[in-house]
Amino acid sequence: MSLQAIQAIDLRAFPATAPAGAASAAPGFAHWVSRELSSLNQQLGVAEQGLQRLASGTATNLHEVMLELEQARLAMQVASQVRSRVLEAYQDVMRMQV
Amino acid sequence: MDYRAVFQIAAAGMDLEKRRVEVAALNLANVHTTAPDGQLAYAAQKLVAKPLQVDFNRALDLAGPRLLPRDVRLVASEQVPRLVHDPGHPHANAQGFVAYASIDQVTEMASVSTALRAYEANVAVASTARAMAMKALDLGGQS
Repeated sequence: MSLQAIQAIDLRAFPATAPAGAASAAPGFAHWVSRELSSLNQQLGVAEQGLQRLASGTATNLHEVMLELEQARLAMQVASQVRSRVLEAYQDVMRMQV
Repeated sequence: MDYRAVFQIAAAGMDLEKRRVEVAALNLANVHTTAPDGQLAYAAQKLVAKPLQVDFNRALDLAGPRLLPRDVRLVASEQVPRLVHDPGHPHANAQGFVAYASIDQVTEMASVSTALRAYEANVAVASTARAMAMKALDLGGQS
């Protein structure tokens, strides 16, 4: 079995998990959070449209609606986890003795 | 979109399997249809799907399952229609034979079964991808 298919995945195509530097970390992260929130909003809108199609009987594929619902739920969980982590980090900083 | 690409691919797979079941259902519904003398009886339809693009690099950049490039076609199979001797039938020809649709019930039932297994496999893939993402959200939790 050749490993060319695996090597063909350009690792640079995946988004970097750690922010670039300390100075640009805060604005970069805020920008990322706002982008993710708008994407979550879009995801929820798509899921709602799928539900409407299912209710009105115009849905062609049941699995598409279910997958949209699952993706919306997953995006919601990601957003809530991000919120928890950010709050934890903020609280850690606030607890430091001056 | 990176972690969501698996969902798109699984959705495309489920779409194809659902269409295979639909085609098999159409064939099975027409098992006992006949054609009048001179006309061709119903020919079993087959779903022929060909992936147009096998570039693994690009396959994960797709925006939606409808864009997964595949050539899906409905092809009528060329088979000799079954002739059943029934002179009293309204569609009997001069020799008393009625042309029934040339559909093999066993083949259609087998394709329904295999399509169901493939559909379940795609559902398992989608569920696994979701479970992986949920597990990733547990990183650094509970402490």
